[in-house]
Amino acid sequence: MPAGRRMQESEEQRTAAFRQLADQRLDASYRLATAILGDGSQSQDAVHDAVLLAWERWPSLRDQAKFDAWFDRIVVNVCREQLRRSARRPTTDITTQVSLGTPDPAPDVHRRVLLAQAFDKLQPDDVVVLALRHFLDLQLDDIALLLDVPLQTVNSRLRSARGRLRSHLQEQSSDQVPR
Amino acid sequence: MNDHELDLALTDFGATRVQPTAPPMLRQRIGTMPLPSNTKRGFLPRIPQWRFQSMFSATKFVVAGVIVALFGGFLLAGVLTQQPSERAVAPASSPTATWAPPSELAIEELAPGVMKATLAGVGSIERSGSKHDFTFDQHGDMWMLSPDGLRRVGDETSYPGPGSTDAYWDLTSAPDGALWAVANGTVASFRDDVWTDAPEFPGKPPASALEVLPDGTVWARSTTRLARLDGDTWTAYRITDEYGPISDSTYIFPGDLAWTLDGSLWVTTCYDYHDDDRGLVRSKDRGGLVRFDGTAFHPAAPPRPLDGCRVSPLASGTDGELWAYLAAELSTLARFDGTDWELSDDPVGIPRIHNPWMVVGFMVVAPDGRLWATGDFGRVLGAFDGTTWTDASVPREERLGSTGSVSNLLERPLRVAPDGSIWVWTLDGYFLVITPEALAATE
Repeated sequence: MPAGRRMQESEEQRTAAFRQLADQRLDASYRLATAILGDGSQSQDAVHDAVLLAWERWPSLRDQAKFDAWFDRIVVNVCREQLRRSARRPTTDITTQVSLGTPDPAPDVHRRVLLAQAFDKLQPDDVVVLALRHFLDLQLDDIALLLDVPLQTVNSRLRSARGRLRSHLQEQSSDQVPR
Repeated sequence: MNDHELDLALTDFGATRVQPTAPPMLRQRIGTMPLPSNTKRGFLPRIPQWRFQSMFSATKFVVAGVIVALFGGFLLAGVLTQQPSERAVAPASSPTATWAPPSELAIEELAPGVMKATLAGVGSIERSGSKHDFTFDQHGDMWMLSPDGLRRVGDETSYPGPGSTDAYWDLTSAPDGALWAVANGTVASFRDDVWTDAPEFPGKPPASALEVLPDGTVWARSTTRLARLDGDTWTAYRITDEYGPISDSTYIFPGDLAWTLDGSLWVTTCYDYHDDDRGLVRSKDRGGLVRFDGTAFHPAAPPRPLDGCRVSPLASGTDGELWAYLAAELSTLARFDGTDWELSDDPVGIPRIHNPWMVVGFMVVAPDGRLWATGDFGRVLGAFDGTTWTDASVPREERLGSTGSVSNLLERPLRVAPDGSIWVWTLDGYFLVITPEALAATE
């Protein structure tokens, strides 16, 4: 078999292997992205960008068995980068509109709106750690692995993030109650 | 709220936020996107597993580390020395001889005929948010809209408004000399130094962009609504006819808007949605490119389908032509001359762009008929003459405006000035200007 043909096949095999792993991880990574970003279309873009980045860095992944954790870390970083651009144009998720339009206990809706507003004021690192812990129910050591930071740092970040979130919530409550 | 209540609230909030499965569209998008070669970009070589195992002793590991570091350094040096070489705008004999920007702008020449123009008080868009927009009027004057109001660049006078908050989205000029703006949902016109608010845009969310056609007709869109202003009345339009007349329960997703000289309005769209007893129902029609015939929208027919669910930028030219970037997996540019469609299958010819999903963000047509486009998340600016692309990108450390994804910071970061210069508003708050002389030099 000519060498060129062999190289081509090898390239195709590498691409196919990557595509298969990325496809298998797609639901999980989209779940991760929506937890952090909260917006479907932004999450789609984030996952897409993460796949591209992962492909660029694919040659550096020595052990394909670790693909999931490696890829999740890339997804988190891409999401964090999107959050960092906090001045992004707010987009309206139609599903939010519809869910708000459907019958729902008013206090729950109100609370979600307040939480959403408070969340918008948080720093990206706060959003990420809260999303991983509370929205995805990840254990602290899993979060540490995903963020590549010590367990103690996760603990500390989580505590601070909760504090800031609570503080934003209190500010909003006091804004709405006439003094 | 105590800890337990906060936990509960966060769990509840998370349940409404997290989506468990990737939508089919994303799966298709990922499955069909081309993957460029990733072996020729100066990555450090992949070391096979068995070599790591055989290098297990500390001494060998250190030696290997030094070798890899040295090798990586050579590669890095090679990559760095290659970077700035791709700017292909040829030198003009006297780049700034006739180009006369407003004196208020600080001009720095990045490359022959490629200028960096900075306006005092306008900072990083990324940090400040989309609180400014700019346009040129029929006389060639440059206008800037900001939280402080509207001002003519080079003029001390500022005209407060419209709207009461600082979130400005879109500013455009009308053929009659008026300026039109969308400012935090308020649509308003500026004529004879006076702002006049239009009636409230129908539906929520409020309008975020507008187009003024040659006959003065004003069209505005929000993320879920498209409407035309006739005198004092807005008329909302649907795209498909699956759900009957448009109502508060109907949502459409207009993407890019463009008009051609024959008076047609062109819109890229995604699915329509209707909220009824069954919940949120999606139209069978995936959307694409539609054209308004004066009464209703009808699907236009580029030779290949246009996936309106991805933002497919449109641009119209002075010859009456329409350009549409087919952002689906096809990654093709289509040009409509009023009668026939012509395809170019090589939009990825913008140098350094290789992925159709992130290729073309914004497009404008220069007076010479060439199409200018940003791409690759705004890092690339190129011109297409129908056959070949010319790269006019600034060095990599500079960034252009963002692309046509839904999270764009600006509605239109790419503008053509009446003098023919191409203006790109960068995320860092300055303008990148390709002067007419530089444009001529590349012809």
